[in-house]
Amino acid sequence: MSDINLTDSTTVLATLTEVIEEIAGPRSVAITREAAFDADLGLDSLTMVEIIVVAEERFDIKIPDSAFAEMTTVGEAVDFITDSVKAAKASA
Amino acid sequence: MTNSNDAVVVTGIGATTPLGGTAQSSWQRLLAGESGISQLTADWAQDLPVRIAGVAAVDPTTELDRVQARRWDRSQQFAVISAREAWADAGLVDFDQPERLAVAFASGIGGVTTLLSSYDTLNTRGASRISPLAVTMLMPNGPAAAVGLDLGAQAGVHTPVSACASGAEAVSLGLDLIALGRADVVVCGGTEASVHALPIAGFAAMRALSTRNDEPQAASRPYDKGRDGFVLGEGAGALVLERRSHAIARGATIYAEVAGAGVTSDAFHVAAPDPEGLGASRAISIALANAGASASDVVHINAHATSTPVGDVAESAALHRALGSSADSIAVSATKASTGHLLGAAGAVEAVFSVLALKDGIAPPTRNLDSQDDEVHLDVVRVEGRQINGEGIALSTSFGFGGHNVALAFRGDRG
Repeated sequence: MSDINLTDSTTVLATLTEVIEEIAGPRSVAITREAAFDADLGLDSLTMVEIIVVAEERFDIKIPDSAFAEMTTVGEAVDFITDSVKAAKASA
Repeated sequence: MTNSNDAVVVTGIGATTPLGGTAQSSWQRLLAGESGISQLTADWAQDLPVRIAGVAAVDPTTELDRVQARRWDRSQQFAVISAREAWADAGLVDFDQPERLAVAFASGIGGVTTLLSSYDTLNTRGASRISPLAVTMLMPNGPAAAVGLDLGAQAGVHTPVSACASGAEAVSLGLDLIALGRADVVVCGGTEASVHALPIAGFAAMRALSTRNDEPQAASRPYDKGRDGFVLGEGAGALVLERRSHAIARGATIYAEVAGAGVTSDAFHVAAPDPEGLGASRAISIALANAGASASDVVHINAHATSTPVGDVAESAALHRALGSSADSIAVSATKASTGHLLGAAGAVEAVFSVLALKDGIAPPTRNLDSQDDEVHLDVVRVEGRQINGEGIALSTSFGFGGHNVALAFRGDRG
């Protein structure tokens, strides 16, 4: 499924932004690294789980619940995903 | 109760059916004697014994915001579309008393396609790929909950489940909720979206479905000698109910009065109808008594008449038992001939048709009735619609597996 060949965080942010808008629709504020999922983007917990399920598939990685629970901003998610994609490529 | 301010009236209607995407477009195609049944051409259907169905005329995802549509099972999509239509039709868009608004929205099977597709996902891709929305999409109360959320209803959201009587039971419940003072406005209806291999295989295994695969538009033929089962359909119907005084106070247009309802159970067999139609007959008698009407007041019957060999005859017997000799001359319409059988939505869609029959003063035609069964002693309207007295009583009957019987009595508005 994954067609993510680049492991830089800019690409990850762009792809994650696509996933968020695909699941939740266009947001009224910009999806930046600093944006908080809940307070800024207005994404409820169920929507976040949905985003994570789709992101796992899009990036071909696993995002454990423990990691998910610590992500409050888009930047934190981007960093976790970038690291996971790099790790997956290294071990491939 | 006639013309009483306490009477419960219909002030809004909505429907999305195999005939059309709205109540009015469905009604017009019904009056024209058209059919909403077609062949299922998708790969998944090709090995089934039955490959025909009444697929909704308008794809619900084209009517909804993309993100909203994704979060709802198809049965929820139909429910919300029909409820929004009824809500707008009633002129209630600015209604500001959500604590007095209730929802009674039925489904026969609920989110069955979500359940089955999620199970496929579980087996092929594992538990981590299950959508977190799977549960809210497959639960039977999902459509009622979706409608309640969409309209902001806070006086209770209910889901009667009684197989093919569900939609009619929701209208009956709506009547009760207003009569008991639990709500001032109720959006009631039914929805179904089960055109899928498993439900088709299940109904086919019961020998309940028509296998006239090569003649889809001739397959649903209630009361005809050549009938061989029902044709599965999908869609939803919705009605807005309120007291006449409430409707008048806000200047609403009244379609008809919900004059009475009768709900009984056969305690006979889980699927077969009581051949004497005792339970069905009692439901009709109770609805009429509840309406303060007699058999001679009935001008139209939208019969359950699914096109099964046994059911249609049993219903004919029940109508005679309840209505006596009046049953010989009442204009009976079997609208499933055009729509197919919408299961838990059928009673609601047919309630919408009954209300429109009174409003327009016309009983719709019954397609495909070429040679009426000798055991059916009813005056069935065929080929063209027939004028009826729009101030009389219209009955709508619905019966479901489990021995559920519901009769609704509508009275043309004279207010």
